[in-house]
Amino acid sequence: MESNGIIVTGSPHIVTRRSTRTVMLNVIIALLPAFACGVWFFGWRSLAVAAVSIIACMATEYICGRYMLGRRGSLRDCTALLTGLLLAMTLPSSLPLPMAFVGGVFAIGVGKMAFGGTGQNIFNPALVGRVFLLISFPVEMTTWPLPLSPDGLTGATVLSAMRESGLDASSIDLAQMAIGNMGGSLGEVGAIALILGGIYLVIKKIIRLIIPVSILATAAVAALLTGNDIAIELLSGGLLLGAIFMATDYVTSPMTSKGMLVYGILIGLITFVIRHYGSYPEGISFAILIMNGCTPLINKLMRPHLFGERRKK
Amino acid sequence: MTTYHHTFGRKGIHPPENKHTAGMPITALPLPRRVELSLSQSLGRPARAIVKAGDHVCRFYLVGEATGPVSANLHTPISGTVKSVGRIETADGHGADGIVIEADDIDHAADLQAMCDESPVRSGHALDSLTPDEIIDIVRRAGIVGLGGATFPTATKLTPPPGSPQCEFLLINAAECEPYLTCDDAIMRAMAEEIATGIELLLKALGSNVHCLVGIEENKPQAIKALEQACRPRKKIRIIPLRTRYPQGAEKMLTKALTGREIASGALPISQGVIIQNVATALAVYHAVVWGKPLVERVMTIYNPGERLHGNVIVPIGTPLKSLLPESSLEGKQKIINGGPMMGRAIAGIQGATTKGMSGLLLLTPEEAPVADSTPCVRCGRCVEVCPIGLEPYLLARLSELGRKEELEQRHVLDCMECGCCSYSCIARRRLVDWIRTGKALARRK
Amino acid sequence: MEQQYLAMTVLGAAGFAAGLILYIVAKKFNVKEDARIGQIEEILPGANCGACGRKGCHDFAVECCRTGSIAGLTCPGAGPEGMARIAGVLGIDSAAQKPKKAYVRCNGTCANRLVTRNLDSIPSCVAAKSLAMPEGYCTWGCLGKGDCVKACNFNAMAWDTENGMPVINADNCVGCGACATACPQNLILIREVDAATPVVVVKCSNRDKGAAARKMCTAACIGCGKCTRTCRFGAIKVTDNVASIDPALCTGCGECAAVCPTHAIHLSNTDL
Repeated sequence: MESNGIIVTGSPHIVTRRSTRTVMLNVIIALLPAFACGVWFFGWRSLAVAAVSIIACMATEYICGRYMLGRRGSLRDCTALLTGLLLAMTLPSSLPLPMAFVGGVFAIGVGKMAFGGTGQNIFNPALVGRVFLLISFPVEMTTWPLPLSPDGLTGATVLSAMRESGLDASSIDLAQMAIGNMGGSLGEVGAIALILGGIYLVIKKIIRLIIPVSILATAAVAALLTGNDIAIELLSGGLLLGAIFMATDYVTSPMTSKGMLVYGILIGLITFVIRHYGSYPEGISFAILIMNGCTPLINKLMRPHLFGERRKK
Repeated sequence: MTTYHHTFGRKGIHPPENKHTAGMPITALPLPRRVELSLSQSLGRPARAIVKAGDHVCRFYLVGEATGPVSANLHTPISGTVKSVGRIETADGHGADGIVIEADDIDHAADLQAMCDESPVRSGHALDSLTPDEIIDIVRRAGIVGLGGATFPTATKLTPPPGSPQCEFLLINAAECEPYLTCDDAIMRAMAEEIATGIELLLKALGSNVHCLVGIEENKPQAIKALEQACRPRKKIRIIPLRTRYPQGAEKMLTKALTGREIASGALPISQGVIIQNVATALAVYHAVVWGKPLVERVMTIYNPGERLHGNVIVPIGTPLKSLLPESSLEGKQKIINGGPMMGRAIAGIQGATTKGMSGLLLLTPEEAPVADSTPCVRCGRCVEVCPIGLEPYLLARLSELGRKEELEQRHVLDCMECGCCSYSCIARRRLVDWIRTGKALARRK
Repeated sequence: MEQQYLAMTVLGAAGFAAGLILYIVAKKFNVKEDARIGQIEEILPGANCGACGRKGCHDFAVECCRTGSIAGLTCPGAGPEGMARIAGVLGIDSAAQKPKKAYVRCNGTCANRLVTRNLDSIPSCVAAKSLAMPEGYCTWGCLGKGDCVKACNFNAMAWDTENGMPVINADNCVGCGACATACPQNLILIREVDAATPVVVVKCSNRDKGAAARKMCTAACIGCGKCTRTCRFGAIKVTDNVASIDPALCTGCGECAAVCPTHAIHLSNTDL
């Protein structure tokens, strides 16, 4: 009888053009400048690391989705592609390729599919993969190739150099840091490119400014109060990559503005504490993972304001 | 020059307006040969039929009588013979009790004015000498209901329950925030003077200390201009342009946008000293009081591109949809919507007849009204960001899927007005409003 | 070596102190619970279905012990034997309770209906009920989204995708009524059964006049009254164009089912 093709559904009958897939693709577009920086500074090997990581993520997503969760087509929303790329951005370009593969499998398999797939994970899968690699292969994961060195010289990142050999903050060339000419993982070095990507996401209304700004502002204030160099604090390590692309992950960040603010401030603070008082030179990954774990609690405590309800003084 | 206009806050959405029929003149339909009048055309109790099969009725005569305070009279838009009183098809397919009247040729030629003179609603008073009670009585007898879609009997709204706060503002809802709909825009452009008089009558009915604020979204500049011109000599009426934002036409949002007051959960607008009427209702009040014409027709937007009937049309209440939408226009269409695309109800086919509350009939293609499969929620929080009431739609939908009645109540599921902002914004295409509707039914269950 | 001893002492002392605190707290805040509550809870199915009208099985057990009787308290999940055992725990007699089962009063399968609707993008029966229906669609019958199946805590309902209707597994059904509450169309009948008499059910709830009902569904009760005339026990009444059966008078002979022109009346053994 319904041969006339008329469908009845509940309202509303129109829907935004945006979908999970377009949002993820936009985030990938926003990541590309920073990724290009990585490729420029660290050479073709970064491409190989990224390709392996992406393939590992997508293959794991497909296999787990198809044979364990009984779901097809979960690759279509491009979340696995994004996780793979994000994971690659946090790896050193010299990482042996099998390790990158293991990282990708762990990120999706344990970080995401074990929780039930897209939208169910508590922790950011890319960071789960990275931290897993960092703990399993500490040497490889902290051997940073120097940019633009054809003969594979390696060196320390700014943060580890400052920690271990007492590198003086004043001797660092900030301009070189801003364009990414420094040691580090392949995606974290291009500060300007990362910020460009962030601006793109904010203009496209894909992410809100609250989380990145609160993280960066907290880190800056903490640096100011303890007499550290603010610019180095912000530009070095994965702070920008983490604040703009990792902490803003939809699934693992809070829902309300108030919640996002608390989340961002605490990430900034924990990062600063780990960097300056912990045993690791870099802390943003751990900070984000810790706050990911607190997100359900934040969501529970930070409710939106109910219309017509008296605001408590 | 850009002026900053008020709206109800940062929540809500701004979907593509698609007001393609804006600016099209209002066309009148010839009277239908047959009307199917549902007795349940207002909120509350259905009217009681006071005619029986075989009776002859004259145009504008009362055929259904209100059965309580929240119920409305029903009049016939055509003269003719009552064919049957009983179950009739309705647009939503659920069926209702109703009256079917078929036209006889004698009265079709009859002059409208002559009919008006005989109308039972006719007051015969000069406007200035009308008392508030007289106006409310005419409105009640004319069977006027809120024409924005909620169809609450207007006379009842004009008499707040005893013990309510003093009414300070009459808010006229001319926001028309739904995409596609342009019927309110059309009447404001064409009949501003009549609307202004209607508003004045409503003001008079409410007492002497009441002022009127008319909220119009800024995407209707001609309507704003026309009404401003018409209201210039009327000191108590202020036209307030509003920033275009959905769901500004909702009572709570409109009150917030115009007065800054927030109506609490479960409270009536009068609790904040306001009474809200639709702009089309004001026009109906004008027709009832000045012309003595009961509510037997309304202007609605028919969106059916390429067909003869496309635009803003005066449609007699009870016109069978089959005479408005040719069967052939369903070709390539996916949805027929009674009302606007955000809150209107999809109907399953060309069936039933128009009612007082039907503000639009939209025939939308699969591109315009897509139906997509839901994908997993990615917890992006956009539904929370847009919900004008401050609910957490993702959570309510989940709780209702799990059947958690108590938690649903705690999270204020019953405050949801089903505006659809959450489902509209959902990038995972989840049917949040459907689930929340399910949850509301669950929460209401004992 | 010294450090090891130190560590052992400190940790041992800390452990002992913590254990002591736990012991004191457990003693001090101990809530004395009726031992019978635990025993009753073991008899109860533990599904926390709420069919008894309490918050869950524990609440039910507490209520049993508090009042010391099972008057007005029934756990459909535990069944009559279970209730008898609970009565035993409480040390009182229990009047025999008959088991209850659920029956769907609609047979609007895809094949029987003349008009069906596309339900793909509708999530639940409650949502489906509020939506518009196509012309000629039975508005009284099953809405086909399985709210009842989701409500069942005893794995007694399954969804028959081919027919678009729920199927009740009478072995598992305890007659708790969760499905009946969940059904927005009020289609599910909970009635007492006893092994000796087959259950006769009118599988239709359409209150439209016969001709109209028949136009919607080939299996509709058209209210013709043939069953009323056939029944020798006066157990069938037609109200609002639908036949209904009084279980107190019905003997399960099945003669009504044999004469029903639309086969709207079913005997339970054919029904399962």
